[in-house]
Amino acid sequence: MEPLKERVKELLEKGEIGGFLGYRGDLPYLFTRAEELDGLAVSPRRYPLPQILAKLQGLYPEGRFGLLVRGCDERSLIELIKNNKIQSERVVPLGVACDQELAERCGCERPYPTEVLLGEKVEGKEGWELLERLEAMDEEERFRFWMSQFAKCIKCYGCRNICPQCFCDTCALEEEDLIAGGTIPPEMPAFHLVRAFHMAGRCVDCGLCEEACPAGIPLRTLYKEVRRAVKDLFGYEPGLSVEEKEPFGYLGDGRYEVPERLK
Amino acid sequence: MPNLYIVRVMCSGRVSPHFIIKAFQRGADGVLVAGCEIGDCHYGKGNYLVKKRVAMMKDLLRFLGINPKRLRVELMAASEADRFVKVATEFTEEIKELGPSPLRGAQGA
Repeated sequence: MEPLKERVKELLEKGEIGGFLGYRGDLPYLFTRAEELDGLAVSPRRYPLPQILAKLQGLYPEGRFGLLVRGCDERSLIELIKNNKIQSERVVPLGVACDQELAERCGCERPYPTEVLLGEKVEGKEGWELLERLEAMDEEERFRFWMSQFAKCIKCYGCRNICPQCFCDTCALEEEDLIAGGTIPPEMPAFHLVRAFHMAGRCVDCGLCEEACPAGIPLRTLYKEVRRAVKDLFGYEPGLSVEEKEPFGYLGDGRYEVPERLK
Repeated sequence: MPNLYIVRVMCSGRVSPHFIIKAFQRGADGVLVAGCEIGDCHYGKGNYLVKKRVAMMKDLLRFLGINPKRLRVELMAASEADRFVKVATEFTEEIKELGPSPLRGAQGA
């Protein structure tokens, strides 16, 4: 913890940041005074810190903040900067690498940020088993699989609320003309299909949605397919660089043809 | 009963993925998105955008076990009535072969 605490202390004392968003115990906490830093922890529980930071920047339009970033947080941060939800000049990311245990539990391919201040980089292993099993099924079987999964949905909006990439002011999922209100499960597959489409070019595979889902719907596998398709169709992978343009938001000269091999 | 319902929009770029999802949820057996030829968009790049969206949506449908052939985008000029008729007829035939959508009788249909 020491290198991280030292760095945060230094930033706070020099007045370079007004606060540091990290964890105290298992919960997110905004450290604003050096004396509080004894409580700074890197909890194995994860929260969408960049999403909280976006709100903080909105609340304090002049404020500059330090942010604890794991590999997944960094990818989220990059996407939020790209979508103008976070101003990059007002955030100082401090990188933490996840330990082997967490990396494996999350099935994370890249459990570390670009610059690591704390911890050792370990190699993760991404879980593709369910996706491969689904791809091996025939159409009808796959349809039955997803419908039985979506039937478990209690429309708690947990997947949306925890998602670091869900930042719209008004949410399509609450639009009753699109998703009829008052029914559980919500319209299948419309509810989850809308969310899946919205994840195109955004999802950074942090896996928080699946962790949050009380019904145990394999959401991450659904969005993994979204990520795979976006990569195949548009050669784009969210969360890698601030410069690279997102395929749906940016048209460039506009020309687009489905790659021949995918037709 | 007609087998083609026309929903008119100002530009194919106006066809939000939500419209496509809603149509399938309501029990449509197929969705045909017709737009202007590339380069002819009055609004600039609406038809480029819809091509990307449809490509993405087709993959999602496939992954959820709905035949992606049920969704098609065709670009043609407003004056090509015969082409529209041909495309619509072909598409209708193709959908007939595929049979009713698995979402028929689903919620909201």
